[in-house]
Amino acid sequence: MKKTDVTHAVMEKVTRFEENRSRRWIVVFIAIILGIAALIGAAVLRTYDVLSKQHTLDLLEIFYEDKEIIAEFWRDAVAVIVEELPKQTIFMGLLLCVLLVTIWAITRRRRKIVQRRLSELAKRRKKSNNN
Amino acid sequence: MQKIRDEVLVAEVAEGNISAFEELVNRYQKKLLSFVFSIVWDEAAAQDVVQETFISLYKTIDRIDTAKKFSAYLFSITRNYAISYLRSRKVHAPLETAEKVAGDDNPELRLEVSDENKRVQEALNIIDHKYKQVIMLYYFDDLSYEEIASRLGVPVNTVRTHLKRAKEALRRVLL
Repeated sequence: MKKTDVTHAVMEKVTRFEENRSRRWIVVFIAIILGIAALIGAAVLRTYDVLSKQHTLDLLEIFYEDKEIIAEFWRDAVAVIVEELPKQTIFMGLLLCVLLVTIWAITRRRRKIVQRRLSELAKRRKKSNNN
Repeated sequence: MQKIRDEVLVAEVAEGNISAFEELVNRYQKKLLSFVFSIVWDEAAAQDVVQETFISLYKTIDRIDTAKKFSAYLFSITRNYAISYLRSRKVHAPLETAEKVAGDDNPELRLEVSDENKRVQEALNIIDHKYKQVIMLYYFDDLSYEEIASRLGVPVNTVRTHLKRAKEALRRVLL
């Protein structure tokens, strides 16, 4: 059999495949992270909006008063604030935060691998361009 | 310098080291080309099959069990790809396949072999495929009985029997 070398052809195809796979993974990952972050932002804004409309945050001004007044009324002020918080929105926001942290943690290894692959691909491209 | 074990390279590739895969390709391409050639009996097809095997290997490399012997796994998937290739040829172009198997449209290959080798090759095409495969691996690739058995997934004694019968069959065809 004639002496043949398939290394170049194989590595070309592997490089192309890996570039597409890694880029697709990064795009999906960023989209998910941004989506969750946007939902968390929306939950924060909604909470602020609800509290502003109800003037709940005005109760915080009690803490600018004298020590005696603060000592007498701070429990009531906090109780009212807690009562008026939009709990469902805050619960959803917290769940989303947990989800975000979980996704970030479980993709740690994969992110490192993708990063390493992309840096190797960049080196290979640079090398082939120089040749 | 000590040679890095295949399984270590496989683990490296799974961790994102693409150069380790290049090393695996360099390490196995020659053996795989000979192996596939002994099955499909067509040089261009053998190259295609080997390329396809390597690419498929890369795509699934993070699922390979590195506790098991990598070369046995690689040869087993290569054999599957070669057989799939033969099947696809059979379905889509039976006449063309028959011509290729006879080696009539492979002048490049024919130029490389002597008249005697040509006769042997023609005789190999006539005998049973499983016998031809064993002959190719034993005499052309210099593999041991154990290595052939591992590649073909058959017991060592079967390799011995096939080789004996293959020689008898060849003798009948050549004499």
